Amino acid sequence: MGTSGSGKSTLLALLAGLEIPSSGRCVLAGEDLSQLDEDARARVRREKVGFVFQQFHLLPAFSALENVMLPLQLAGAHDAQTRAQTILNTVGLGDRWHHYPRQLSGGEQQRVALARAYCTAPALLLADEPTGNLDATTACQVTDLLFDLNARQATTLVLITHDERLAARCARTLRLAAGRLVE
Amino acid sequence: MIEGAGLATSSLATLRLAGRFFRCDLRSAQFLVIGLAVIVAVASITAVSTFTARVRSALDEQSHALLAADLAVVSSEVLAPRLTELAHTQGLLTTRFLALRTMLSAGENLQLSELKAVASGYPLRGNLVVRDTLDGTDHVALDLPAPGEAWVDARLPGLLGVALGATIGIGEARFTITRLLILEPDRAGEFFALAPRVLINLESLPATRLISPGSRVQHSLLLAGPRAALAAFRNKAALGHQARFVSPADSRPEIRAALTHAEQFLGLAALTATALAGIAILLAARSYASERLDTVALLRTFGASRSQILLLVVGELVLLAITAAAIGAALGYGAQNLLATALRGWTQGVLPPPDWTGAARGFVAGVVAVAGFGLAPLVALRNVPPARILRQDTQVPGTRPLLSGVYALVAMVLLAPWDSGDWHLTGWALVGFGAVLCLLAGAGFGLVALLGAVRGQAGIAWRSGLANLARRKHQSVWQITALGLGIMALLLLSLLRSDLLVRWQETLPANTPDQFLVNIQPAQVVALKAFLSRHQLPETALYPMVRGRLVAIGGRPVGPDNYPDPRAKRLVDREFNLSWTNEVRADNRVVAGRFWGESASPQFSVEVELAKQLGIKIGDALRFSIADQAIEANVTSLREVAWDSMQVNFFVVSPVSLLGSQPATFITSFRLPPAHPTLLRELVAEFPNITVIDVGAVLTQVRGIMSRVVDAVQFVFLFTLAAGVIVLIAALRATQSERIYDAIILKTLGAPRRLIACAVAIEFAALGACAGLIGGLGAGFGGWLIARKVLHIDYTLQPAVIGWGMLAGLTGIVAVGLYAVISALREPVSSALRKL
Repeated sequence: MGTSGSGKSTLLALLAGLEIPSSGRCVLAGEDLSQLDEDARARVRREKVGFVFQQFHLLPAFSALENVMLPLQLAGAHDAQTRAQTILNTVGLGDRWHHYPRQLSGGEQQRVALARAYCTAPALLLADEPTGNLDATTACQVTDLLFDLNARQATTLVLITHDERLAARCARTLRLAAGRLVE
Repeated sequence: MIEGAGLATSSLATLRLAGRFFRCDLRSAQFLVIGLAVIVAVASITAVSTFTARVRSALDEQSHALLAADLAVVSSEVLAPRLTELAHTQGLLTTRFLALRTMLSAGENLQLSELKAVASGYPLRGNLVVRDTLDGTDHVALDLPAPGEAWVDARLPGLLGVALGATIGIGEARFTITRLLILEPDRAGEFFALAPRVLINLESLPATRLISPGSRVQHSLLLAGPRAALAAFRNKAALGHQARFVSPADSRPEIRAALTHAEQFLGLAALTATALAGIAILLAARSYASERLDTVALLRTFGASRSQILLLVVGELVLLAITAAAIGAALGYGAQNLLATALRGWTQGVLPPPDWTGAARGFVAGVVAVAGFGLAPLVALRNVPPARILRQDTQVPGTRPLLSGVYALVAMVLLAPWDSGDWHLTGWALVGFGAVLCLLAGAGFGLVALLGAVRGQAGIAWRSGLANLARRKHQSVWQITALGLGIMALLLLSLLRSDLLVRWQETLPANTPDQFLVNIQPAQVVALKAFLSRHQLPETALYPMVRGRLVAIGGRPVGPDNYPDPRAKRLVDREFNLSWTNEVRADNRVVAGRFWGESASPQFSVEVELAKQLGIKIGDALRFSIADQAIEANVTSLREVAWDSMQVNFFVVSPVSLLGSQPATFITSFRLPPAHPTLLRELVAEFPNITVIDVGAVLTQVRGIMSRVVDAVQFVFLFTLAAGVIVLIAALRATQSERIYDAIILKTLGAPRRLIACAVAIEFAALGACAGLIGGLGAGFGGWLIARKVLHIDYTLQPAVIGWGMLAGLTGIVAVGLYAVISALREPVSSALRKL
């Protein structure tokens, strides 16, 4: 947790190898990200990391199913469609495979994003304000789903939020201020 | 976790993904603009190359008819029978004829004539056209003169004072005139060897006893058949010194010149369309790439490697290139059929069917255009940092402008129609296009800097509008460049239609000479002028003509053996028509060196193509043998001669000081008034030694080609117009979403609609005026290039063109720009904000 500008997004970017630290090291699943080049870090992300964003970041021209298949296709999975369908059923969108983001509500869009993040069964899931764009009720449903999937897949979840209640559901809460961990 | 997937599997999956992205992006406006630009470029290249190939092929067929054969062997000695045998073993058709000058007699009257004695089978290509009575109709002869019969030039009965059916003497034999010879296919190319023709059967020739040792006789063996067999014959024939091959390419320089103009024109139009389409592709690809930043950042976040991103964008672009190029090739193929139908009669007879090479060329050109212009901005996408997905302000490495420029330059060089007949012109066009681009970009930078400096002194709308231009500095420069190019294309088209093509046609005005008079003796000059004046013919210049043989260039003796090229051999082998003058004629242009003025010292000016053929350079001393006397002087200038002006012209001219004292005859030309059918007869009667050459038929054909070239160019320039419009659309769309965003934010903050519209209008007006100014200058340059380098006519830049350019730029661009923004402003703020 932390206020705006405290460095939460930077930390997330470092954890995922989206950026490399100007000093120090960042080790993920035994691999020193700071020693890897762009493509090697991309491989690490592809194999081990999932993402959920505040803005959902679904591709508007892709259907729900195609959006979920995207990371699987990038990884060259043969059974991308089956796996995407399965996880969409899991998040309760079994009847919405072929809907486009503009045809889905905010909550449904975030559920598609959750399905997309979990479909590769990542070791680490990074969520950046996953409920920041949702109303309270929908946020609650999405949070339940997030933690449910996390428990089922035994994923390590790193979640950035302003929401104290959401933070309270996590096993450990860390606070950032001016780029430093303060508790 | 994902199972370790092989590289190939992953690549295949990425390519499949590229296919999916391609289908989705068909809804993206920028993506469609790229596709449209490719379609226009490919259609234009396909249409022009297919059509010109068909015309070229038709012309080849016609020129075979002009030779009466596919190939001829011509000799001043009897041709060995083995040549005919060799031709037959190659499966070729053959026939032969003998031609010589001889006097005809009819009672007391004598007339010099060109006698041609033909064997059965003549002509192998083309037709003889005859008339059975003096006022009868022309028709194709299906037979040849029977032994004892003569078919004669339509002028001959008048010259000899006889009628059809009369008997004339040729040598020691008597012949009956049974038909008037209107047209023989291989006659047209021999303008300067014309005495009236008499055609007899070869079997009748021995009876005339005209052939004896030492007679000046031309023996011709005509051949026709498949190209391979002709080539084999050429290889095996081993001709002696006196014999030479004559191929169809040697015939009709005026018509070839007019068609070369046509090809150059069409090639230039296609090049302009392609270059504009290239700019549209580049602009649209830049905008499209900037739209795709977030998507690529997302894919990078999901672990897509840079090579995967590259495969994805290149794969998508290849799919677009293939699809658009296929559509463009099909459209171009259809368009050239339309062109061929609309311009029926461009060539005599039917155009040969089109083949697919033009479409294939267009298709390849489309792929090259996409690669050259569209690849650089999209390839740069592989460097999008994944962190952009979390922070929009993350800096994205852009396309390196130099790299884009190099790609585009290579593409343009590959796409340029180097085979359009004149690589020099293509080079000029490319340099000109590059110069206009640099000028536009430079002016864009200058304008942005200037407006940035003055904006503080203006009202709020001005400040806002001009600030927008300065804020989007690079985009503004791009827009000015692209808009300027679009405006240039439109202005050039209107300049072509309204001025250049009309003036080109005027180079062959209604009073263009169609009769040449040669062999006028100096003592006849005054009398001939009086004769022409008496018949109300406009005063015409008489040019002196001195016959001389070129014997040395730069001190080295020259002869046919010095040149491998058959045309060069022939040029050296025959006598030149030299002349003297003190001024450069209107249809001549000095392209190297300096022309002399009054009372110049001895020197020569040589026609540039002849100089190339014979390897003559400025400073070379030329020695001519004139009536056994050697005349020598240096070459001080090279001239380009517009042979298709149909005026009297000379390969080599000198000041009067060099040739003035040599034995000369005079030559002139005039337009035969249609209402004066007996004028030629009267002229020949009064000046029997003068030879009259009628080039009316060639003139008509050149005029016909010119008029159809005008139609064809206007048609092909429609592609240029389309490409220009696409550039305008691409340029305006490039910043449209940003402008709409700015306008909505301003409206949200309470700015009145009028103020926002005013600011947008000022911004677009500044853009449009600058683009219009440079576009007008560019069109002026294009007009100069076409006028001087293609049409060989004078050209003066018309300030009105620049004025029209600015006006069109201002009004058109302000109107289109305002329309998009005002539409967005009409929406309620809340709904507009949701769309941002």
